[in-house]
Amino acid sequence: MATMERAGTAALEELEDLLARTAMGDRAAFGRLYQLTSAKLFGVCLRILSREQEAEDALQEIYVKIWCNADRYRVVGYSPMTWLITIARNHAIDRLRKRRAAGTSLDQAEDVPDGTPNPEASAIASSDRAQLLRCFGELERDRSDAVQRAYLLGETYAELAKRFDVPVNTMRTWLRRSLIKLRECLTR
Amino acid sequence: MSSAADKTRDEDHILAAEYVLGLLAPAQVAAVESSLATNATLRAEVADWSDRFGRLTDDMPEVTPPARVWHAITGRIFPDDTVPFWRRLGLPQIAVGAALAAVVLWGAISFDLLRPAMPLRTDVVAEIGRVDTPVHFRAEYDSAASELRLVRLNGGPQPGRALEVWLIAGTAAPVSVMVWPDGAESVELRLPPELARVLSGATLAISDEPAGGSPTGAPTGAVLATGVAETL
Repeated sequence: MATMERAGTAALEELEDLLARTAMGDRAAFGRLYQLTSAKLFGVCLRILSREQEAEDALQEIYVKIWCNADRYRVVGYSPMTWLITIARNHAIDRLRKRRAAGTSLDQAEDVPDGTPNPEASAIASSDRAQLLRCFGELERDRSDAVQRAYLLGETYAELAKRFDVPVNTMRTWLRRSLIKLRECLTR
Repeated sequence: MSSAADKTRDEDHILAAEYVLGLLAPAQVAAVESSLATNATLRAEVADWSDRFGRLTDDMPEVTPPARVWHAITGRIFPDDTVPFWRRLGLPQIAVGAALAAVVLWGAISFDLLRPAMPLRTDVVAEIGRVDTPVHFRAEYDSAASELRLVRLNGGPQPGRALEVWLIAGTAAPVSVMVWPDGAESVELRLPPELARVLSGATLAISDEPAGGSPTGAPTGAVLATGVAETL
């Protein structure tokens, strides 16, 4: 699993234990959890939001959510890092979508945060990630971009359709086919 | 294997991926979340997609956040350096009961944290309370859609009690907006036109009420937080 590698030196069991203790209101455990995971989640916020102050505000809210909701971790069946990264990504995406809705975005947020492989990153990437990138590579370039834009920038079907200059239904069909292909490749 | 069965299975896989990506319309999100409670295969598929797409963050470099972020977090969650009351009282402890209703609620409140909300074109906002008030909410209003989103940032009702949200326009009597659903993170509702008209500049307040809300139609318990709705 990618989980252990992603968490750096933090072992899966330790994160599980820290989340369980955080759910019981153990502040020391929460502090340790922050020590082990905040650099990763801050990296995610920075990449998605591109603005440092906003990334700091987002990180603050993410950890308040984690503190208040650690008791929900067990129910959903995610690995600890996936749960934390999902909360962080979704919170950052919420902010990015609000920024776009308010019409104040597009300066720094236009580039796809780089999910495409570069040689250095690929060399040290986990085997799970390498597999994901290989599978994205099997998709047509546009379609791979569209899926990554949805995850990394929170772009909606309407936004993607506009960007790639196709009708929304065509975009939906493209993307849904790409998701089936991705899944086939990943479970091969 | 029949191709019809393949199709249904593919459809579930795609739906799970679209859910994780945040591409579904609100009605579809609600449908997926009610299935999640009872459909273990769909639940596993959602977890798998979250893990797969999560790997797209693997190459994002770790950056140690400045110390002020941790100070701000602890300032918010331990404001008076005692165990915060909402933890002493306990947020709803999730017990997976046999009753379907309980299971559906469990699904709804466990997963709402794990998806992006749909974008609103917010033009009126209110911060109801602050980090050091017993409850702290944010209100965002999209006047084109008449949609009001209330987000619970901190705090919750005491056991056996409820939180009720009120709108107070000028010197008019408080009008009940809603009774907060136990355990909800955020709620979206359509504001009736007579409230929508007076929202900007009005005060939003949250009071402590008996379970089910105020029996009199006016606030009966302590006002826990207030904020003024401001047009952006």
